[in-house]
Amino acid sequence: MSAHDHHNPSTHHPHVMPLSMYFGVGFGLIILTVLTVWTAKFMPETIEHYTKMKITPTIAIIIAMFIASIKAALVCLFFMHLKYDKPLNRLTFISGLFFLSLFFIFTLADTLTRDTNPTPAVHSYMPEEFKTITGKPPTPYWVPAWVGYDDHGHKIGSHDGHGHDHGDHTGHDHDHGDHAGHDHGDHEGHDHGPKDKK
Amino acid sequence: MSSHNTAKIEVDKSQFAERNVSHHFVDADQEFDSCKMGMWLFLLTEILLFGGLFVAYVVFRTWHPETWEAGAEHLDWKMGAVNTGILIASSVTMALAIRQAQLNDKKGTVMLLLATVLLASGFLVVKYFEYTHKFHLGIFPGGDNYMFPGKHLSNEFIYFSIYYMMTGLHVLHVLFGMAGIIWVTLRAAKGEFYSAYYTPVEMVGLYWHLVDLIWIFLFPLLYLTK
Amino acid sequence: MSEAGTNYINHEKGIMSWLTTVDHKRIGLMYLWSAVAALAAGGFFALMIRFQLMSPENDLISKQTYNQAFTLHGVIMVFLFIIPSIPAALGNFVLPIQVGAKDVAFPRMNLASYYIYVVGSIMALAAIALPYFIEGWKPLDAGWTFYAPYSKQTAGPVILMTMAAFVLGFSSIFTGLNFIVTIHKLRVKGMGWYKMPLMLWALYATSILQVLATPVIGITLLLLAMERVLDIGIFDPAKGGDPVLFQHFFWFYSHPAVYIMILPGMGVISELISTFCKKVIFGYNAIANSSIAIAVISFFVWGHHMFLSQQTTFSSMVFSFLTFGVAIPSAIKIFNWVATLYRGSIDLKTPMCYALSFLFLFTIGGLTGLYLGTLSTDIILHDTYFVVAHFHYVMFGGTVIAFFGGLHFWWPKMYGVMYNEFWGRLACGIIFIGFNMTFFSQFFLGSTGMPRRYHSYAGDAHVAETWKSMSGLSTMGAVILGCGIAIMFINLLISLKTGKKAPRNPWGATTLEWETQSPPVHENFEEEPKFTREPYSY
Repeated sequence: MSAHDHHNPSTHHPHVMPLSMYFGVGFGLIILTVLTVWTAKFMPETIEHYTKMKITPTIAIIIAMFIASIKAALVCLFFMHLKYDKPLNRLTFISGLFFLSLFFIFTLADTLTRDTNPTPAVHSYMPEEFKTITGKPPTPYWVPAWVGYDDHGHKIGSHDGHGHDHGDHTGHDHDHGDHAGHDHGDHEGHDHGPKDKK
Repeated sequence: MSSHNTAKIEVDKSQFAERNVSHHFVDADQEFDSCKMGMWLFLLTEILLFGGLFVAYVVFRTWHPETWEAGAEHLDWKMGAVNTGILIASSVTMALAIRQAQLNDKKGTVMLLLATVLLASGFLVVKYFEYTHKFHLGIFPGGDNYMFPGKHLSNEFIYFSIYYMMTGLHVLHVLFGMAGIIWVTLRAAKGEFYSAYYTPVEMVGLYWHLVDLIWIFLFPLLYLTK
Repeated sequence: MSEAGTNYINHEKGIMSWLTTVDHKRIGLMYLWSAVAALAAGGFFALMIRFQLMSPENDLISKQTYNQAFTLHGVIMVFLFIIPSIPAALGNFVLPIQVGAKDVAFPRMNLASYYIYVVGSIMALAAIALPYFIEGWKPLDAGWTFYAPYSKQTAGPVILMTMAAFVLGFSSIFTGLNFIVTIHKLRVKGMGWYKMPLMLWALYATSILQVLATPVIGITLLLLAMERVLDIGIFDPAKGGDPVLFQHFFWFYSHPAVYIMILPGMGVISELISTFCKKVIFGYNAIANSSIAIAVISFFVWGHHMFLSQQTTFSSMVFSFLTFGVAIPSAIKIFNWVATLYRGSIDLKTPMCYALSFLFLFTIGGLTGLYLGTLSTDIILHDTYFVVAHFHYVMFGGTVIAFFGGLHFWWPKMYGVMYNEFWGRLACGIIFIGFNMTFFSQFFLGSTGMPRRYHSYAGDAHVAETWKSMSGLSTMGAVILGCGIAIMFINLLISLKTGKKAPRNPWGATTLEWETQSPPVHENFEEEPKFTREPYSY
C-alpha cells in the first residue's frame, strides 16, 4: 500500500499544558464544593442570624446551581480542553445545552401552568360534549403516601396501588383525576382505543 | 496550536509501538480532530440522556417542594461531599494522565490511570454504603418497594425514585468509565500511546470528565436540598 | 490501484467478507435489504389491518390480533424501516462518495451500527413472536407510542420492545454521529459548505436530530422499563406520577424523529429534480438553510401531539403557534423545487416520476398538517383517520416515495446495471394511484369522525354509507399499492440478472459519486477525486 507513505504518524503535535493549571483547577473545584455545601447547609442560618432575612430552599438551590455551573465550566474549559480546542467542539457542547434548555422550557411551560381549578372563559359557551374534553383537571393526582400504611408505617393488607380498571385502552389514557375524587364527568369514548374487554 | 514546549519532546522509538493513520484519513491531525469531534457528539447524547432525568427532577420538585426537602434529609450530605471530592481528584489524575501521555511518559501515564481507577472504586464503595444504608431503612426505589417506616409526606417515594434513577444511571456511567480507563491502561502499558498518538486516552478522559460533570450537578440537587 | 473490472462487490468474496466489512457501500447495501425486509413485514401487517377494516363490523381477525397488528405495523415501519431507510441505507452508500472520501469517519462504528440495528430488530421481532410460543405471555398492544400508564399495566412484553427501541436508538445515534463528523472533517479539498450537494445538507440536518433527540427516547424508555420493574411512579398517575410527562418525554424525541424521516427524503428530491431538469437548482442556499431550520424548529413544536392530552391550554397555544413555523422552511423547499422545474428540460425517467409524485403527495401531507397543528381544528380531528391519512401522506408519500426514487436513481451506481424504464415508470404510476386511493379516502373518513385504531365500525346513519364505501376504497387501494411495490422490486431484481451495464454517469448528474465507475471500486475512487465542478452546474 503505497498510500501509507504520506500517513506520517508523527504529524500530530499535542498541546501540553503546565502542571500548575491542573492543580490550580483541582484546588478551585474543591474550594467551590466547600462553598456549595456552606451555601446550602449553613448560609441560610448565618444570614438569618445577622440580617433576619429568610433564605428559602429555592433561593439556596439556585445559588448552589450557580456555583455548580462555575465548577462545570472549569471542568469543561480546562480538563476537557475546550478553552484551547477548536471552536467547533465548543459549539457542539453549547448546542447541546441549548437543546436541553428547550426541553426544560417547554416541559415546564406545561407543568408550571397547571391550575387546580380551571375555569376557562370559553367553557360556559361550549357544547355539552366538548366540556368533558377541555374541563378535565390538569394537575397531577396527588397520592397521600400514608394511605395503605398503618401507624407504624407497615403496609396494610395487600394494597398494591393499582387502582385502575382501564384494561380497555390502547395507547391513550387520560385518567388524571379518575382517582382524584373530583367529579369531572366521564370522558369515555372521545379518543380511547378499541374497546377490547379482557 | 503547538506552543513552544511541544517542540522539545523527543520520542524514544524503542519504548513505543509504531502506528499508522487509518487508511481513510489524510493525516494524524485529521484523524485526531475527527475522533475528538465524534467524542464530543457522543457526550452531547449523554448530556441529553441525563437531561431527561433532570427535567423530571425539576417538574416534580416544583410540584412537591416540601417533599423534596424532606427527602433530602434522608441522604447523608457528608458522604455526598466525600464522593464529590473523590470524583474531582479522579478528574485531576485523569487529566494528568493525558498530559503524561503527551509527554511520552509511559510509566507516569499508567500510574495516573491506575490512580483514577482506584479513586473511581472509592466512589463506588461510598455509594455502596449509601445504598445499603437506605435499603436498611426500607427505602427502596419504587412505590411498592418503598417501606420506610417514618413519617410520610405526599409522594415521598417519587423523590427516592428519581434519586435512585439519577444516581443509578450515574453509577452505570462510572462503571463504563472504569472499564474504559482499564482498557486504555492496558494499551498504555504496551506502549501504544505517545505524543503523536494518544487519542483513546483523550477520549476516555473526556468521558470521565463528563461523569464528573454530571455529579457536580447531582450533588447539590439531591443532597443539599434542605 | 485496481485492475479493470474489480469493484466493491467483487473485490472480496464470500459471506464473511460481507459480514465483517467496514466498507460503507457494503454496509449501506446490508442496511438496504434489511430495511426492505422490514418494509415487507410492515406491509403485511398493514394489509391485515386494511382487510379487517374493509367492511363494517367485519370479524376477519380478533380484536386482540388487530391491536397487535397496528402496534407491529407502527413499530416495524417507524423503527425498522423508515428511520434507517434513507440515511442508513442510501445515505451510507452515497454520503462518503459525495464528499469525496474513502469511507465514513468511523468505519468500524458504522458496522457496529448495523449489527446493533440487527440485534434491536431481533429483539423487536422476539417481542412480537414470543407471546405466541411462551405460555403466559400476552401479546404486545401498547401502540408504537407506549403511552403510560397503559404501557405499565398491559401484560405484553413491553420491556423487551422498549429495550429493542433503545438499542435501535444507539444504531441511529452511531450513524448520525458518523455522518456529522464525515461531513465536517472528510470533505474533499475545495468543497466548501455551500458547494455541497443538497443531499449532504439534508443528511447533516438529519444527523443533528438523530444525535440530539434519540438519547431522550433512550431515557424515556429506560424509565418506562423501570416503571414496570420497580414501580417508580414517575409516569403512573396512581402513584402520583404524571402520564403527560411521559408524553412530553416521548414527543421530545418522536417529533424530531418525523423530521429524521422526512429530511433525507427532501435531500433525495433536491438531487433528483435538479438532475432530471438539467438545470441548476433554484435557491440553493434557501434549500440548504431550510434543512437546518427544519431541524432546529422541530424541537420547538412537539406539544402539538398533545393538544388533547391534558397539557395546559397555555402550552397548547404556544405549541400550536410555533408549529406553523415549520411550515415556512418546508414551503421554501417546495417553492424552490417547483421553480427549478420551471423551464427545465424535464426528463421523465423513473426517478423523476417518483420526484414529481413526491411534490404532489408531500404538499397534500404538509398542508393537512396545518389543520392538525391548529389547536381548534385538532380538537375535532384528533385521533381520527384524518391524522392517519395526514402522516401517511408525509411518511409514505414523502419519505418512502423519495426512498424509491433514490433507489432507482442510485441503483445503477450500486449494482452497475440499468433497470427496465418501462416497468419502472409503470410501477411508479401504480404506486401513485394505489397510494392515493388508500389514503385520500381516509381524509373523508377522518373528517366525518371515524376514530383510528378501532377494530370495527358501523357509524351513525348519516356517516355509515361514507364509512363503508371509503373503507372499501381504501382497502382496494392498499392492494393496488402492494402490487405496485412488488412490481417495482421485481423489476429491480430482474435488472441484476439481465440489466444493461450502467455507464459511469447514466443520468448526466454533477455530483462526485457519478465520477467514479459503476459500481465503484473498493475505496470509492480510482484516483484522488478533485472538486472541479460545483453541484448542479448544468
